[in-house]
Amino acid sequence: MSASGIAVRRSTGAFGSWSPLLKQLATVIAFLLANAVVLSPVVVQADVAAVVTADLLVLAATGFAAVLPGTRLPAGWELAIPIVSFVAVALLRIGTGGQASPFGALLVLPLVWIASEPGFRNVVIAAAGVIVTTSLPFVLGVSDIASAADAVRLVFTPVILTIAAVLINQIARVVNRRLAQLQESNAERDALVESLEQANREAGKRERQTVRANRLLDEVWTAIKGHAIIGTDVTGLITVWNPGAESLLGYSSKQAIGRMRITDLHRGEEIREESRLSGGQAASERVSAEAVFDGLVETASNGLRDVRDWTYRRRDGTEFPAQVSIAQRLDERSEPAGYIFVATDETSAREIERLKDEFAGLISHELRTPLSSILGYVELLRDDEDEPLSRMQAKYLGVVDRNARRLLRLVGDLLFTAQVDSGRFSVETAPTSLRGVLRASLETARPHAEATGVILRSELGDEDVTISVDATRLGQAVDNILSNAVKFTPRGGTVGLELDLTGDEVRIVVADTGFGIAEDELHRLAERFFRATTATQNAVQGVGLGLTITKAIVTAHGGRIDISSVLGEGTSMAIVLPR
Amino acid sequence: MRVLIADDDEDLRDLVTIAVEKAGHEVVAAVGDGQSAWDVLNAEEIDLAVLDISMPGMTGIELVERMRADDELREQNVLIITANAQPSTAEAVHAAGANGLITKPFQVRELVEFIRGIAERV
Repeated sequence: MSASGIAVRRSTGAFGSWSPLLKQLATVIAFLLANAVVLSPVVVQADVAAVVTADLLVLAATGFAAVLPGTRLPAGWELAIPIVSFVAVALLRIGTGGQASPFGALLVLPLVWIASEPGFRNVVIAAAGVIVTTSLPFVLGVSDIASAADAVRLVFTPVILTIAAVLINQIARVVNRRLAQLQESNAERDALVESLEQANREAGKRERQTVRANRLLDEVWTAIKGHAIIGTDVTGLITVWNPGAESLLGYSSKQAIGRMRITDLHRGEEIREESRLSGGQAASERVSAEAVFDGLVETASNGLRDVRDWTYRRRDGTEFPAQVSIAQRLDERSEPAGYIFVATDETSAREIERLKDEFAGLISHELRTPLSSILGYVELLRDDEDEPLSRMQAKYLGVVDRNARRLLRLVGDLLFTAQVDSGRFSVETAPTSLRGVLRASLETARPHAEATGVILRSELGDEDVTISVDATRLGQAVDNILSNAVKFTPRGGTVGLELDLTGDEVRIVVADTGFGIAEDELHRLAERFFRATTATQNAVQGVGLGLTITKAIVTAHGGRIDISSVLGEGTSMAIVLPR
Repeated sequence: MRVLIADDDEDLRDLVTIAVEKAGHEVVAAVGDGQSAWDVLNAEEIDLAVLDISMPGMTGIELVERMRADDELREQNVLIITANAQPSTAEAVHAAGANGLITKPFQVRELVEFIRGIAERV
């Protein structure tokens, strides 16, 4: 609307945006012709002074018209020009015979100019100009009303010209309105064109963004080769098949999309078995593809995360273990639209798992067998009644025996953590007397405590507690924290073992007056191979597996370990079990 | 009591031999693989077979299974020695029909007692 809007407001009169000088041009030409007539041999009685004055007025008005657009005068001042022209025409008539002057017609020019300006006021001004101009020769006595025709002309001319002024004004008004409408619709059209162009630019930008996003998606899609990404509709019909699915499963996307069902890749009986185990609805013996598919997506269709191991069948009939993540797809109205399956080939992961197990077994066998020989032969030497050992020999063999047993424990611990890792560790619980377990652990710890000058105290209470635990494993856990406490306590210190019953919990507390453990290390104690700074500083033996194992055992019993410690004052470790 | 020992580790074989002799019994043969043990069992009059599990050719467990399926050796006393302390191994040994299981490392004293116990039953 900007430029054209202003143009609409500025436009005055039927001539629109014509400059005053251009409008004045007609009057200038008319006066030039009139002067030419006056100077020509055509006989016209002229009063030179009046004619020259009229010419000067026209000249002045023309000059004013030329400079007017450059001044800051209001638009109304433009009408001064035709008003001056009226005066000039009146003088010209007076100077050329008054009523008889041949130049009466020049009146029309300022009349048209003024009458074409909007507003009835201008009709009045134009009429006044005409009346003054036509009556002025009689008023000044240049002409006389000599006949009835003169009188009629005196009245008739202004009336007709006033009517003409009214008509001109009305026509100008209509033209003006049309012009304004035209300009307005032009402006609207311009604005429309502009907004269309803007929309076009936006659309172009969005299209470029979409193209970029699509390209990125394409690249990612193509780059995923190790995972099969398969989309289905709500009935299990395959609708999406990525290059990873092509390479893992052997079907091209043409063969798969719209032709195969996801269940074609599965073993039906595996889905039914899984569904039966989880008590699902597809447990019945219905064998339709729909029923099998419903069983497969039962978890995902409830909006739950579903990551499980399945057996997938390739196009060539071979099978492989796959870890499959199933997620529901929703449409724009949040209605189920289908499912996304992301399958990963687990063959090599399984192989690594198997090798790890095999390695653990091998280590176990290959280390235990020579250790058995060492311990066995040492035992034979120490027990030989026919050839008793010297004191030194007995001492040295004691060292061999102790270290062989240390190695043996280490092998056991490593195997144990391998079992925990592979998820093969489980506890076999039976009702067990806790005091029995704790007494056995005290006896196990006593020789080492006595050898290192640590006092072992116990507060097991009068009441025995029988709870369901794996006695061997729990004994191992208590052995571990007791032997840790003894190792962390300097000569002369104390290690206490306590059995507390609090509400629905059983607390087996081992408290020592040892080196303590830094607070920022407490949370790392159960990490495999982690050793507290105080352990390394004080040359406490160990590899950092004891608490890892203890935690695994306690966790398997549904319990926890509470640890608190103050550097230089001691540590308290509690195995907390549910009653 | 006439005893057969089968273990692929020579030092351990000797150790078991010493234990058997300490218990006051005779070692008829000490072999290093399952097939040789099977041959001895079929050729000799044996009262007790002390078998390692992991041996080349035939494992101790396979050997026991084969003995239990054999009319002549069905009632044979078998003691299994293994370095594998897994509960699953103990179950397999029991299922195969062995009379006893000792895990490595074992105390010589313990083995001697075990052999004496079997001898009393025999």
